[in-house]
Amino acid sequence: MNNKVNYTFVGISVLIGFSLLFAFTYWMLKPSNDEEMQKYLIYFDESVFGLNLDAPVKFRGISVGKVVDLRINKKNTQQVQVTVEIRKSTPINESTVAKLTAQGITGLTYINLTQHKHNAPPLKKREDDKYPVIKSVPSFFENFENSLGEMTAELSKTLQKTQKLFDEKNQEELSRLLSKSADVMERIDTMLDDNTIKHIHSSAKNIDDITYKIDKLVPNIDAFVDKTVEWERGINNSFDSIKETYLQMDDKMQNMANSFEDAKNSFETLARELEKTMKESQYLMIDFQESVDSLEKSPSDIIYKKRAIHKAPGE
Amino acid sequence: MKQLLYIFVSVVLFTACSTTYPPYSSYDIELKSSAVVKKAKACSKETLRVDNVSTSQPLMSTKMYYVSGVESYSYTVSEWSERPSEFITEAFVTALQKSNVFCNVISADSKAKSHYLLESRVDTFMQYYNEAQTKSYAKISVSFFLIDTKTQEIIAHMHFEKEEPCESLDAKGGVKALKKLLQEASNALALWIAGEECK
Repeated sequence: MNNKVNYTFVGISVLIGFSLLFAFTYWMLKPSNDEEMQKYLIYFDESVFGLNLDAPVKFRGISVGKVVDLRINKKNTQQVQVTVEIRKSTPINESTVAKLTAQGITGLTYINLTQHKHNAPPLKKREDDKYPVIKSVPSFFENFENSLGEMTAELSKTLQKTQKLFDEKNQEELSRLLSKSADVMERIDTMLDDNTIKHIHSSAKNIDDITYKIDKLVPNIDAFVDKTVEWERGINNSFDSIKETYLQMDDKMQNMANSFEDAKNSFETLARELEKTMKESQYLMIDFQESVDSLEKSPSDIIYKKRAIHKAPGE
Repeated sequence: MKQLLYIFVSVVLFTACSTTYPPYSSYDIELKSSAVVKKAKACSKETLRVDNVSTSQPLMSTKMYYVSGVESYSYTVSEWSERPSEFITEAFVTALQKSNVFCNVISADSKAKSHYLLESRVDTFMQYYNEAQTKSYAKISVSFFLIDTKTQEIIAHMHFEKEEPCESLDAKGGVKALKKLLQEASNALALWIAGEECK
């Protein structure tokens, strides 16, 4: 049996083992680039009962971070300041709101993030805050509590008004009203005796008969209306025809007027020519008349100029 | 015998040709251009028709009539070369054309339509002698009527009457005086039309 131990080998092996252990630990603890976190602040105006450190922060149901700090806001002691660590890859913008949501019946609470506008500008850090601040909205319980309070107040008011409505005076009035109603009902009952009901039945029957007759009459009325429409159409056509005739007559009259105008012009021209001819004829007749007058006074003048010439002055 | 009869008839007829007549004088009245109306810058675009003058029968003849006392005679050796009714009409047309009041002045014979019609009536255009035939004067009397052809209504009217003593106691003196009177009547017409047009 060889008990000779190579201590050098053992030492080297131990060193290699420790090195591998450190490397593994570092690999395990080293945060990847994708898993880089961003811290945000959320101020809640309500109690954060059930919210613990490392409580999850979810975005649309997906766990994107955790709560890393819980404290009362130093500037406003009515608020709780919650610091959360959220993955940088989470789309947080100015429209993102945080809401406390109960996790089943365990009493634990987580922060649910909701985004209203996907195209809102990214959330930036303000100068007086350490990290960017995500707005918070009241949780379901807060809303429920508020609503319940309002509802209780309204109910209380309603009860007070009901109490006022049913005071003694109103109760008396109501009793009187009910009594009068009873009287009226009794009278109606008296009025609606058998004869009256028979009469009403008879009237209803008559109305039925009238309705039936009207129903029978309606087709006739429809036919009458159709005929009226047809007659109206016919009248319209007649009027159109008359109008067309008048238009044609107007054209004809216009043509006649033009013809008359032409005839008038021709007649005027003819009259002028005739007047000219008449004038020439008149001149001829005057000359002829003068010759005849001269011969009448001395017929022998046709051959012998026997008549004594009456000499004019200067001749 | 038959031949002698022909010769006799021929001699009788030809003796008519032996009748001698004194030489005839024909008178024509040609008026000078009138300058009494200042020519308008832009004449009226409307048309004026000048109708033939309406005259008595003696003024439609070329015979030159005169009145001595109360009797009317005609000159034997003097006559108008144109009928007075015609040359009076021409004188009026010419006077109106030269006045340039109307761009278009047409005579009665024109076929064109007109806006206005001028009718004239010559009552007197003759030479007068006293009974002793020692004095003579010419007289003109004419009336003008401006008519709207659309309404056939008289728009305006004017009467011109004047006498002018004759230079000589013969036809020539009468013609000269009548010529002067016609010239004055034409001028008066042009002035009247210009005045009426401007209204």
